[in-house]
Amino acid sequence: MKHISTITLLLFGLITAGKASASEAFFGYLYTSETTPGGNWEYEQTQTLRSGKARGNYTAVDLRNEFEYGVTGNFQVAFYLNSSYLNATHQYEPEDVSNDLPNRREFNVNGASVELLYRLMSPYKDPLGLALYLEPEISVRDRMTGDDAIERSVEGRLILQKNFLGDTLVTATNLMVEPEWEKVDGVVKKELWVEWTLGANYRFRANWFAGLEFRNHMEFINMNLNNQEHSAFFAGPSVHYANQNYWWTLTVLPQVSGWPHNLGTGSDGVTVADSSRHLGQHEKFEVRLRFGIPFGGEHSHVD
Amino acid sequence: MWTKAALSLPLVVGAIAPLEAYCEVYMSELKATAVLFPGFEFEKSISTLSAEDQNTIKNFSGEKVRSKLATIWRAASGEWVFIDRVLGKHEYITYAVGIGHDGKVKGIEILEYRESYGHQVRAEKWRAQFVGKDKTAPLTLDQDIKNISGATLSSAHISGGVRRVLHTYELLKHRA
Repeated sequence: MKHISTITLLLFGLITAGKASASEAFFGYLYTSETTPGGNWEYEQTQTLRSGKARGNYTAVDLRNEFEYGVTGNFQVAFYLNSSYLNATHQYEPEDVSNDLPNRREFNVNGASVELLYRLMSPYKDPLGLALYLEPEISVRDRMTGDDAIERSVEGRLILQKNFLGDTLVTATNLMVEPEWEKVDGVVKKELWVEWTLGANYRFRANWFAGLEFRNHMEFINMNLNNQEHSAFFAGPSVHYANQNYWWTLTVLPQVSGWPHNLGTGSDGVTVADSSRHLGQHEKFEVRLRFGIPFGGEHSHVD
Repeated sequence: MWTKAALSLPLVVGAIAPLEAYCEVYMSELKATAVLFPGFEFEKSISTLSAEDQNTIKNFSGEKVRSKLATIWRAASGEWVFIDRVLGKHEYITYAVGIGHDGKVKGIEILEYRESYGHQVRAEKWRAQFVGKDKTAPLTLDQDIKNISGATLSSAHISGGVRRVLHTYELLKHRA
């Protein structure tokens, strides 16, 4: 706890020194076509709490530390360090629930990734905002189970943003496609993740936005679109605050439905299932906090 | 332990957030009139825009009227200085628009700017783009007004705001 207090103090010490960013996240799970201005950089942290499985206790906190740099007004790069805390007891392997997982209570650094974001159109002067996102990632651990596994993936996103009501209503949608190659005990497993997210955020007073986010996450075995492993729908509220020095966004996203409900029979002979949700690769609810502390000062220029 | 820490962060950030915002005021209204029209004497007035006025202004300028009260400093010789505000990325941007008796912009001055980036809206070079514009000007980014990289929203909103002010002037000048 002492270490956490030290880190928290350090972070809030940095908050007072920073300048706010143009790449602030209006949403927890969606990206917008905002980019960090050229010559500026930002520290960003994303914490995602995932909790609730079909049996036992399962709580995980995914922690992503990001260092972001605006190369030009329309192009930014970022480096991520991905880690997670896992507290799980009486859990099952998501893809074969007859196999029990060892109880875990541990914090691990899982891997690293690089982000490339290029904005093609700005929502403030073009009919809509349009950006392309690419994130190659390598990890050494499965964040869901905590098992050692070499995973390579490339996340691609098509980002669309449209503002209304004099830019007080921000709407966005992302289509994410992420092929993943996972190597466990010498065997390579191929999967394809596809995710569609949609959100709207309204500025109800200076500095403050409130809105809703929707997320549909799907997974396909062997990267075959005819071989869907699962689908899960999430929806919930989000709040965003920003000023000159920092910003933060909090999103609560419970799983509202998912497929398949029935995951099979556990090692104890009891069916592992939920009435309406998919609790294999996902949990009952997620809470995400993102905050950013920009640095770098003024490098804006007249185009 | 980590869970508790993660859950406590938004509460901590939320608690200190309103305290962190601060205001950067560069100029008073009176000072703006003196900078825009040196040697002139101005008197402050507040004009109330009816719902019909607001619709007329919106129809001609394409910009929504967010306040029914227009703050105007007027000189006896026909020069006006509007004190207006538009939405910035996080907070309002307050600025002054000086309009000569010929209905053309004499200049604009930024009174309050509290955004992270784009302080170049205060630069003389950027503000000079508005000089000589009247109600017929597009006052649109990448047409007759250059964008400021990293502050596109502020640039666009100030441009739209000046366009709205010019049409407000056209509506009110005959009532003076």
